[in-house]
Amino acid sequence: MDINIGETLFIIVGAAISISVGELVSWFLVYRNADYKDLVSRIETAVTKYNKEKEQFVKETNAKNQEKRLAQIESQIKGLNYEMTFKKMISNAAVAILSIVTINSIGNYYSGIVVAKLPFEPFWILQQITHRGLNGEDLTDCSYIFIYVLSALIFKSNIQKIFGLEGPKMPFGPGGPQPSLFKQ
Amino acid sequence: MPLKKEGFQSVGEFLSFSLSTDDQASSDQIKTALFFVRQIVSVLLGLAAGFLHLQGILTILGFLFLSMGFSYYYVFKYKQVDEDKIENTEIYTEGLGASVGEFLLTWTLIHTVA
Repeated sequence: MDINIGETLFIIVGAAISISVGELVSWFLVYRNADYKDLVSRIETAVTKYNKEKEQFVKETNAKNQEKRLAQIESQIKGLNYEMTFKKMISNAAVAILSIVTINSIGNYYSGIVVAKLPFEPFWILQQITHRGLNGEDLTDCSYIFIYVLSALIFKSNIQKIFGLEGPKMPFGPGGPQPSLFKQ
Repeated sequence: MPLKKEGFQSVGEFLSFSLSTDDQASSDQIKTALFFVRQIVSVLLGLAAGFLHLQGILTILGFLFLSMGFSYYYVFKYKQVDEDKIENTEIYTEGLGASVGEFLLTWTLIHTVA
């Protein structure tokens, strides 16, 4: 089977352009605004305060007042996080639409075409992506969408890191802090 | 620009920081350096796996092991950062998604062409 590597590279370039435009749209709609920057600053301040209180809490035992303060700061961070999620909703929707349009446009041309040969046989969940739209039983045949997804992941991570678009890091996941913190 | 936010004035300064053994850096600076250095290593490992005609899931597992081992070595041995300053989970997960993506993509492309 002849695979045109130029077509594979075209998919990578297409992913790069799509992600770049998506992040540009997000920056235009959300990241450049003063209220977003203010929100990020407030979250970072609250997270710093939370981490300091947590360190104090771990050192001291039976510190009920500290437990209460931690709970208050945690509640504040959750509220700010919710506000940030809401602010990013429009840009996330715009980026999702852009991705769908790009994938469909590329898909119209590449449907049924093997763009690469995988050096491993993917497990069944991954096959839905790697073998999507392809005929034949050879599971090492790779469709355009796997290349697109990998490229999008790479470019998105790097663009967000280089331009500082990652957003503030939370000290705990969406469900809240680890339960053991309050069991002491 | 995050380079400025985390204390780097230019790309050159960032590059010299990545290669230096300065243990006075903040954990954010260290994680940023690790993010990009890890990706370079992932691309090199992908090229090596492709040219050596390595195949199978074991190659991916080997890559994960090497990638995490490199992260540990780079932060705690090469840059001599104090182990209290940064958690192991943070160094193992920093840039993991992008580095796995780059390894798979490079490995697949070389395997396709070679």
